[in-house]
Amino acid sequence: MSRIIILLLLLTGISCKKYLDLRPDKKQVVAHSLKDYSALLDGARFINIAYPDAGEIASDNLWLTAVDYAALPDRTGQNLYTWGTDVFNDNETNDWTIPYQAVLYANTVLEGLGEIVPDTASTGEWNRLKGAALFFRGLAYYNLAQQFCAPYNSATATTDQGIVLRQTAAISEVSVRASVAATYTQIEMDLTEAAALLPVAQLYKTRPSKAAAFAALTRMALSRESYVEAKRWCDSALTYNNRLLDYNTLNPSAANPVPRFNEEVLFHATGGRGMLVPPVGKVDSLLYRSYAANDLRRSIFFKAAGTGVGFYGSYDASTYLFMGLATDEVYITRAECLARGGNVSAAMTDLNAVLIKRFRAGTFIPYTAANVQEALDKIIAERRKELLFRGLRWTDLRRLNRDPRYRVTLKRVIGNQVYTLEWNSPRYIFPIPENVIRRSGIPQNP
Amino acid sequence: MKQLLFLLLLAPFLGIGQTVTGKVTTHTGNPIPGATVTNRTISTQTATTGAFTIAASLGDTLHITHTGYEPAVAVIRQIVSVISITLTSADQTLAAVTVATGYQRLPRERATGSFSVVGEGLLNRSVTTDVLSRLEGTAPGLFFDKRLPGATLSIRGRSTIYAGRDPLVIVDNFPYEGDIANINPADVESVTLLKDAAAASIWGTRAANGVIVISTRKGRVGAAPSLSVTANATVQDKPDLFALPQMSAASFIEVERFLFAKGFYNSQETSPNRLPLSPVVELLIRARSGALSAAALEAELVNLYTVDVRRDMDRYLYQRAIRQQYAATLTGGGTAHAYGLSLGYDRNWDNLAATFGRYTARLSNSWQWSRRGSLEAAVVYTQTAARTGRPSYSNITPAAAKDLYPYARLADSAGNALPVLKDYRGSYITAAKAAGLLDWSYIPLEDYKHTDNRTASRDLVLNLGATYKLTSALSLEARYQYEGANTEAGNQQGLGSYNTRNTVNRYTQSVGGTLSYPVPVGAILDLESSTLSAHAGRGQLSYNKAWSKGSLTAIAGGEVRESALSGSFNRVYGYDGEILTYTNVNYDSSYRLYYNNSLRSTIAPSTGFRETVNRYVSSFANAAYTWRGRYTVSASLRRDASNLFGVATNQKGVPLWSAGASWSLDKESFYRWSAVPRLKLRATYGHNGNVDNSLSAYTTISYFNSGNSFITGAYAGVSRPANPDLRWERVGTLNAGIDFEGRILTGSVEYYRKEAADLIGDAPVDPTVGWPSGKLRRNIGAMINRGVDVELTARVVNSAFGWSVTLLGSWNSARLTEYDSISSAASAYLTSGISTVPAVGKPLNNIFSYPWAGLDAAGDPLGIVNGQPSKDYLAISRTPVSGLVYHGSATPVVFGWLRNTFNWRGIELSANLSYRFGYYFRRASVNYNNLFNSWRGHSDYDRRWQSPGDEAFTSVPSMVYPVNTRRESFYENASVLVEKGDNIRLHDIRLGYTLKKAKAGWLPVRSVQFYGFAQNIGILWRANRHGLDPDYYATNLPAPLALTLGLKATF
Repeated sequence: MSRIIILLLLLTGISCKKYLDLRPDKKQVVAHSLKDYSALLDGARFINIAYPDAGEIASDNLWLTAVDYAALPDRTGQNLYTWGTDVFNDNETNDWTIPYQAVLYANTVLEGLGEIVPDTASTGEWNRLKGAALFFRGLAYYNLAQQFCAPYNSATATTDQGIVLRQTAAISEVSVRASVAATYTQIEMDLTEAAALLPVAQLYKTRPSKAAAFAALTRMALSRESYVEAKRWCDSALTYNNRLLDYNTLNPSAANPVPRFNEEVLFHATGGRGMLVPPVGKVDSLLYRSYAANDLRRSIFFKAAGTGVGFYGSYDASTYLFMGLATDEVYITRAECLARGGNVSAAMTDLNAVLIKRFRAGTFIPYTAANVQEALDKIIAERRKELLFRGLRWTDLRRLNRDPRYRVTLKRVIGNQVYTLEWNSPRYIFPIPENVIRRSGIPQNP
Repeated sequence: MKQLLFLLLLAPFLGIGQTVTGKVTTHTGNPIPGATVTNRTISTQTATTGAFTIAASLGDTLHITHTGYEPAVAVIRQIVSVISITLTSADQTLAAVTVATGYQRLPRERATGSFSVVGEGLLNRSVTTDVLSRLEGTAPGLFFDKRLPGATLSIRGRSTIYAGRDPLVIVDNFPYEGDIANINPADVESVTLLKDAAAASIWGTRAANGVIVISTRKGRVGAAPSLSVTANATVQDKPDLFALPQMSAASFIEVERFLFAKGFYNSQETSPNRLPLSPVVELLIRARSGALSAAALEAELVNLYTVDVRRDMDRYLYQRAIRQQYAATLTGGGTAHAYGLSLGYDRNWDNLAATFGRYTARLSNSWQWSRRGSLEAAVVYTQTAARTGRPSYSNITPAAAKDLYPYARLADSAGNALPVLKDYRGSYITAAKAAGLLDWSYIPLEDYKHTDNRTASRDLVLNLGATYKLTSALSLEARYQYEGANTEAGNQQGLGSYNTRNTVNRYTQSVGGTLSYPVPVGAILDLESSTLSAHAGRGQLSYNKAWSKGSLTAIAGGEVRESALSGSFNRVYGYDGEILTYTNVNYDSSYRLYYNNSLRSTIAPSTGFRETVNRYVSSFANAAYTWRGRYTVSASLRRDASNLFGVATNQKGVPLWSAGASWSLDKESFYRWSAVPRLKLRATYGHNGNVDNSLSAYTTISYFNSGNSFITGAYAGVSRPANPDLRWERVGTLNAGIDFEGRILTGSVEYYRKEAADLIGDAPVDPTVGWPSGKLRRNIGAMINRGVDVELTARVVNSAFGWSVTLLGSWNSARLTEYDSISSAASAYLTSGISTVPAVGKPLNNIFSYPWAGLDAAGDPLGIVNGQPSKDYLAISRTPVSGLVYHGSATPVVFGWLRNTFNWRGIELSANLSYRFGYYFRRASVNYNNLFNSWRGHSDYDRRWQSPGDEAFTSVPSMVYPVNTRRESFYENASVLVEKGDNIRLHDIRLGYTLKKAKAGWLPVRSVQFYGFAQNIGILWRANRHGLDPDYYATNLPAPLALTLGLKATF
């Protein structure tokens, strides 16, 4: 009798455990399978949008009328525009928190994959997911470094304050700022490993491919002024995709003439809108006037907006800025690297490869340069004209300001008030949100 | 006397009816006049002395009833002397018969815990469609928060920050998983509130907020059949729209002209999204371009100055609400059988002509099928149907989060409906119409007619129970309940509705002027259904034994419960209700939006499924031992496991327990206080729990259908990072009370102290962890919630004319003792006081403000920075919490009711006063940021600073442009806008007249009662000088006066 009772108790104990193992909400899934991790990395709504745009607001491609500036609802926008220090404190989602959200997704996937031993059938998918997770993390780190760290300076990189490198999904892990050198080393490690693991082709443009990882590496190397290295990554990226979009095939009268997911796009991501959107956000008039009359970009990128000219050339074909990676950027980066390496003719070939697709068919006279300096001048001018509003201008300003030949002082005039940003201003490094400083104890930027 | 004796002795033989005399009194010996004594078909009423005389024979059963008392039965065993009958008050006094815990019924005398019993009399004093609102003003410690629409009720304050705050509701024996509004109040016999640990711990992890046990009306073995019929109708006024602090049209236009001159609208004029510009701004643009002369502009504007959209709303949208209630209940019983059958019908039309109908049917039976065994079965069916009505004042809004401009007109002077601004500019709407699009205008008075939004629900409860006596003391009880509910909602928005036209138009594609429609031109139909399926089973052993000196009551058992909710929703486009067809749409392609070709969107599919299951496995035990009828000790124990908790918590399985003791002093031989014949002391301590159903112990991700334009197929997002330590909140409750019953004064006083630990709160995290909001739910807090509940009833005059006064008083003070503050920045603490703002040392709902130093000579508001008046609003916004003014609780600290009841010859008049003291609220004022960007004005605008010197008599800042949001936010949260909430209001008055057959022989029924009830009569006194009702927040207008006429007849 007592045995039966014990048996019954055991049975109820076991079945009770099973009975209580049921998921309370079917939609709340405890991630455990490759399918779950793939779905997380397809959460483009979370990790392919709202890429940092502070640099675009603070750069010289944009201007606002005093009236529109006064009407801005958002403090961060106003202060970014005039290089003030009270930024990223009015919204939970900002240029610091959004990239770290992608880092959490990447780490969740990386930790999950660590618990799955792939069989022969699933190895390909496992590699794709690991590569993609590393790519998202590396790119997020890179974007953060452009906003919140000093421009890369090899002399001080080991002591300059870098970003927080979060390498696990554990919430309990304490945030610590790494050095700039360690930050870039981690970006390079993540992206090179991603490039090795990622497939050549991807189903969606929001998923990274091999070429995308190489293109991200070129950005990293360029911002570090490692031109030899950057050229090597450009070569690798263009091995997988060297196509360029012929702007002669586009309809300039369309609201946003450049099609989304076009053949130049290696990885699709978008950035902010808000005050950058015309008619509020206007394009620097000198910049606009620098486009030749037979340059198709003059009509494809720009349309009249209020009292100025607005930018309508986003590769997202919308008012959202394209902040992904595309082949035209890789060509132009390679041109600069070649020029800096002294190979003027190859440099001009790369530059012309892009420009011939940008001018009215049959009217383009290829650019030439007599020497390195001339080549560099042309390439750097064209870099700004081709890649405006892609989240690149800020990094370029920070990098080029270190070179006396290209350094600039930026100026804003609002009514009677004049604001300036000197080439070596600490305002080229954005402050970290106050609540992050408060809760993590990490040091604030100067 | 001899004669009488002779007669009595002889009577049985003679077979003729004799008369018996008796006296009906309360437990304390007070006579009860006006009680009805019935024998078979004849009845009589007791005199002022409580005495009665009625014809009866040996073996007859007398039924004695009186409003406010439990019915009593007396069998005539001998016809010799005066029969004395005591009636037990149905109200919650010491003498109330039993308290129901959902597991057992206990004699109140032997209970050590804190119970409040609300009897039938008090429940039926007020008139509402649902049961819970009838509890308002009936028991101490019970608080109704009406600041937001849909009152929430709490028992003894709040002991949780974010987990469920609602008390657990038990109907008869099991938690009610469906919508509690399904219960027909006419079916409810009594409600027991379980307030302390000893009373509620038996409900374990869900009992920390208190438990409400609803006992339904059932037949009694041996009771005569009784049929009662009730009917009532309530008419409720329209809400007073003019109490909204709306800015006058003239002032609003003045602001628009001011902004126009500053160029505020310039960028909006060329908005690629065609954002709407108000009619006045459109006029100003026309005047600027010369299309309108200056004189014509002024003439147009003058016409608008006197418009007040509230007049149109009041006239065209609102009506008096009507609520009707009908119910019939039949109860009775045979020698071994009892039955109850009831039917109910409710029909409501609200202030906006939305309708609600409810049918309820309840059948309960019990059989004593042997001396040892009995069976119970009940079936309850509820069916409801609701349909939405006209839009309310807050529903008519131009898009993009704007309020309606005060000079909007809903109809012209002839009553023809007029369009009101919605998502796009008027000129654009005209152009779009010319291009062949559907009319894009929004006409509020027409729109709702093209929307058919209905919800129907069916709910079935099946309840079975069996009891078997194993020995005279030990019995085995098994219970099972099934509840199945189904809700179906359908919302058909015809082509006449703005929403449908807007959706069609937005997606309309124009290629060279030829239009195509990705969203078909036709109605949009949304369907939603949800199904509840809940099973609960319980096995229980009960032990009841009395010895010469002591008695023991004990129960022990186990329980398994599952509540599964599944649902789905679906939308079809181009629906034709006549032939039941619809049109397929392409959800995968991304379309350029017509009004802004730069924007692209997929058609959002509105199809989805959900399924949640909550499972509990519990075991429980409870025992009470009473010695010599004076000393009682009690203890309870419960253990819960649930699929909501993580494995770790389930394994730990910390049991929740309670222990208590009581001492009936009055039964001691030394007790000789004749003025207070009953006196009892009691004290308990124990632990309850509380669960947050939305949390899980694991890292969870949520799947989404492809709804973004990047990919096709499902994708996922992280919904919560792992929390391996998730556990329920634990609340330890100490309760000490004294119950007394005197000749005049009866009542109880209780003190409680609830210490909550492991409270789930938003733990601040460094957003760098990947959680942008910077907060995650964890078990991180602790709080102490103390209070005193007092209930006193004085029978001031107790004769033919009766006057009694009942005072309910509660003091509740809560204090968070442990919490890792989310923020030390002031802004996090400056809220409306409705949401909980955890601040250590303060109650959960609190009011903080910025110190206020008046306006300066420029009309700018001044705060305090480093002890000095300052208008450095950035520095003010960084005020540490210690620099803020702490006013106090946002919910009353002292509150209660005072009810006076007068009786005279069947007429009963009672009035309930409510008082609430010791709390604060934040008054709204003009916020120029809201005014400019959201068109949300405030009548304070007219009192603003306008010229130097005004600062002497106004505190409303000047209007400046461009707006400084920090300045606005400072003023909005400054101490000058905090007011004391204290108020006294006359909640309701009831006048009833009861006529009994005993007194009026012509009456075709046993008794009939007519009554009138007036509710929400008004505030008698308030501390604030602005005429604001602090118990209703912002645009939630105070409940208007409601008048009820009703009838109850008993056959």
